Amino acid sequence: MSSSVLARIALVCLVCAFGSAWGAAEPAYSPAAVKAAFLHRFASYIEWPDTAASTDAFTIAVTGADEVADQLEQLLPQLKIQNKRAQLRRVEAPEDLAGVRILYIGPTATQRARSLLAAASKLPILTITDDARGLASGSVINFVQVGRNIRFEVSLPAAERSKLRIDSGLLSVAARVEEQPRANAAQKKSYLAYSTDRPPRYRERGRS
Amino acid sequence: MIRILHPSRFGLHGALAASALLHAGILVAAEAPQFAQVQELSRMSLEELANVEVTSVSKSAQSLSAAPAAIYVITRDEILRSGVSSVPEALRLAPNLQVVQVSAGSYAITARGFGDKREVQTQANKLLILIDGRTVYSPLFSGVFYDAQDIMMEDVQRIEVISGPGATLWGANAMNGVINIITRSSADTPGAVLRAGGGNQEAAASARYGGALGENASYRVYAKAFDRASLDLEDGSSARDHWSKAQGGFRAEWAAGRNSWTAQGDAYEAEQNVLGASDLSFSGSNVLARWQRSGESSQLSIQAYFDHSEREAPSDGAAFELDTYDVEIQHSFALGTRHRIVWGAGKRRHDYDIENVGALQFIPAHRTLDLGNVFAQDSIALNGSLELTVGLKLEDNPYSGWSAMPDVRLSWSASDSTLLWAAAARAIRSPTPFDAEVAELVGGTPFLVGNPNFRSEKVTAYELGYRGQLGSTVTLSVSGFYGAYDDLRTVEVTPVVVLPLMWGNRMQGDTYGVEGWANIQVTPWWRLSPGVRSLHKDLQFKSGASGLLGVEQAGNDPSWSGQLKSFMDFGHDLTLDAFLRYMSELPDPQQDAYFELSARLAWDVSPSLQLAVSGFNLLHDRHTEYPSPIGEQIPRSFFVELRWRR
Repeated sequence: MSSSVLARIALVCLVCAFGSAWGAAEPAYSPAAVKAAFLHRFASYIEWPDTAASTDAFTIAVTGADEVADQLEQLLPQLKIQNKRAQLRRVEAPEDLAGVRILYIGPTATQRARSLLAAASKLPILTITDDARGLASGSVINFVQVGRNIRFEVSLPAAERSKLRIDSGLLSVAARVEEQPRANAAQKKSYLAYSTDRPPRYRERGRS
Repeated sequence: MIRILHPSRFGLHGALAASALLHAGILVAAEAPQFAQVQELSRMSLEELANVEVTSVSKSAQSLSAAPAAIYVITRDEILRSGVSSVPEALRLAPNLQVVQVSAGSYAITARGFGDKREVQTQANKLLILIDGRTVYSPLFSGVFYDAQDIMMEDVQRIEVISGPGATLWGANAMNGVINIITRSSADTPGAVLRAGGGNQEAAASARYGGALGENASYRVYAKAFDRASLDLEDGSSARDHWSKAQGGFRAEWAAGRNSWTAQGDAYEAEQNVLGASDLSFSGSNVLARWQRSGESSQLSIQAYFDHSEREAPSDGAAFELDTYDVEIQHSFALGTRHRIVWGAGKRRHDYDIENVGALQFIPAHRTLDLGNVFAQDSIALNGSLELTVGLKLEDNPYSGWSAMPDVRLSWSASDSTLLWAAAARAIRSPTPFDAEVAELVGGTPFLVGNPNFRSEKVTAYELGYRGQLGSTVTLSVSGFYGAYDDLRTVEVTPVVVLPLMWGNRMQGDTYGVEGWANIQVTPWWRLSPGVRSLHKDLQFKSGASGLLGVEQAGNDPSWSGQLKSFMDFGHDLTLDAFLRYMSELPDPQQDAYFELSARLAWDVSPSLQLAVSGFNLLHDRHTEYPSPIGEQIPRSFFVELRWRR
């Protein structure tokens, strides 16, 4: 029994020791807060088609990412986006998407996310994923973590399908812009796993 | 990701309660300022946002580019395009592994040396292999029955190959490396796939069907079977080691908000011919369940599995049966903005029953082995680009008790595209029944016996690595290692009377070497991947050692090996891929260096139908990879395959 006590003490001490020793260091931001800020900031670079339902509120929908949603819930009520009051909607099913301008699908959503993304792609909605497989899921924007920064990649063909116009200001910040229609490539190579060991096949948008 | 758990033994209730208390405090403290953060962040420009630093979250494939270890990821793309049909053949694609085929179904695979030298009963035993979180090395001798391990190639997500110790996170046996085979989520494998093919060395067929069960659940089922022909002997006659196997399995997942559940299982049965000995039949089954709760900055996972395997030579009655029960918990979370903690605990029980026949006896023949571990690791962001990872695993095994395996890693993201890292870690291979309880008889008299005081084999490894992107078309990974080994297994004599011989721990020594690989996108349609590894071993007997069998008994390893993979896309429907590999001379017994080549041409006849022709071991009529007494040689082979999916 003494060894199990030892194990427990060692574990707790590890957690405590490192917790206090480095806790005072200069702060970094929580990924959820940064993503929430991105979601609201993207709006100023997107032009939605006239066919997009006109509503009195600018709705950002979130699924599979409770922490990002919590952040937006704090942030959005104080903001106006495109001269409309901004609001958060936590969505579960395709029928929740009415009037939504931006849909964020977090990394924890799976099967349900697929049907949501499929439904949203047919609507003038800016779809944003956080998917290790990258843009292959069909979203317009995908978050990627590069070192300690959160970056994003943009698919122009997906934007075109959703009838969105993207300002070049957004493209110039993107880590990567996919310009060629995936066409056959998408059908044939949909099994391409996202691998950082593999150099990108699309044009790099360098940010020095 | 293997952790185990046993409440009564580890007093886990207490540990969990303590952790829950700690955790509750952290949540309260951490969340308040985060809402202040988002206000501040919302005023930033897009460009500023892209440059703010976040607390690191390491759980996806992406974060591998930031992992301070020598990791090579065999992608699904690589596996499919190489046309390989077995796990060991897929592992050849990793430049940091040493893969040697011995017979039709048997391989010697290791990282950083200490491979097989079968004539003195040395088998590669310092590698940990996991398939979807299930450990598959044999607890009887720490080696792997590769003929018992199979997966549906179509459904592999990736294979992570880590050379060097990975003991803190992965635990037992992760002494020289870890191989982590990860299959795809069932949500990613809808629809039907049928593959069928044949050639001069193999006939195989496989099928998978997957689909959704309502909005939140998905499943797949698969079945596969193959018949593999015998290797050759030197004179061109058959080595009579042909074998066949059938396997089936399933995976189902259900997600609800932050929670997800996974259940999966496999079952197989195989028959194998053995030249000059009894034929073998072996079978097995396993089932695994996992619950995972994910947040933006935390993840809790609890998993349990059961694995049964058995192997017998029906004509002479030798057999073993092994049941493994494993439970583990792993929790990772951000602590404040600087720390990323992973901790966990686990418990594993092996029950085995051996039918001892002939010269090799396990005494006792029936036994229960209980293993347990608890570990914690903290990744600390020292500043924007420097990260320190400190971890400790405590592990218990029935022979040598508790061992501590610490691990320290420092990584520096010198730029967006450059990572430099350094690591120091200690790892062990814990004693097995083969080390401690075996009795080998000659004429009914014990000739070699296990050593009840056998100690763990130990390594302290130091590594330095670079990983980066050069321009927009080249990625490069280079690492160097130095390993200080102690208590390696030797053969000792009984004082005064000499016999029986006994296993001991009287070898030590150093190894060092370099591993490197690159990806070069030569043109948009052509990618090249060269890789190379070198190994120098400098081993000595410790004082008091018998010196029997020489230090060469630690493994017959090549001093270097290299490979070059080429992937070409012609238009949208034609791919041509080639894989050239080189293995330097094996020293003792001596085996010449060789080059070998495989290639595959695939044509997408339509979006749902692919026709592929592969050639393996193309450079020689037949070649030897391992100089075994039987002298198996691997013949050139061809394989034609149709793949249909819908």
